[in-house]
Amino acid sequence: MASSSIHQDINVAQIAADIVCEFLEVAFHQILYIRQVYPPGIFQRRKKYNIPVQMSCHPDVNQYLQDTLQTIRPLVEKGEVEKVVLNVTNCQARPLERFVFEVTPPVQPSVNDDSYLLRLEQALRAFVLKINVCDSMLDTLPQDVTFSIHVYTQDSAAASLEQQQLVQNFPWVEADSDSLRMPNARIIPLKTMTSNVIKMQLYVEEGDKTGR
Amino acid sequence: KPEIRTAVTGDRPVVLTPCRLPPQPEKVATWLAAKTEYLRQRQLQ
Repeated sequence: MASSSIHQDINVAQIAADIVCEFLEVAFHQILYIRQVYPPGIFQRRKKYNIPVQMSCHPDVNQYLQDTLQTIRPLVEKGEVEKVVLNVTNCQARPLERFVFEVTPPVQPSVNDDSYLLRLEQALRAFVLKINVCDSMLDTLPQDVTFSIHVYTQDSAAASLEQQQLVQNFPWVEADSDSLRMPNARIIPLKTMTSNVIKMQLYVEEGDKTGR
Repeated sequence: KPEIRTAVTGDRPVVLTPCRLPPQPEKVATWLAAKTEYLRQRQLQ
């Protein structure tokens, strides 16, 4: 009885948005390390979800990821984000790999069946571990690669993002159609989770890396 | 207002990306080399 009255005060959407953004930050750092977008020397071992993860210690890289996630957080909270994609691109901004995080709000959001979010933590840990091993399923990347982040949403959400401008000097624009095209891509599913807080799916789209 | 705009033009799916680009890997590598050198110098002192 007491626990249910406590749960009534909790805004599950807000908690879910915090959890998703925190997880995406860890996952992005891990992908940048695993796919060697940046030199391994800038990454330090940290503990997250009870497992070691690699986090960047470069201030600009960290700031960029934080600004990105801080901006999209209100959209995640309102359930207006369909997908968040980290593209590993070549120097001509052509995508070579796309790490796609499909985020769906649950039908009946609640934390009643997982009060301490232990099962959720376990699921997120599995996501990170899958990212760690996905390297073996992907082809080697060329030397000069960088990355970009895409957020799939609706026009109305984009307009509200423009109006709010939560992070100063961090505007968003509609992505170029060329940066979305990846012909002959193959899909590698990594992990799916369903809970009453978050529903998330992670897969990698791998394109032709020969540059044709 | 975004609501009025959406009501007039319709709500279509869009893909957004940050206007700013992430730090270039070459610049990050230069930063790392400088940091390593700084730490080496400090150890020697």
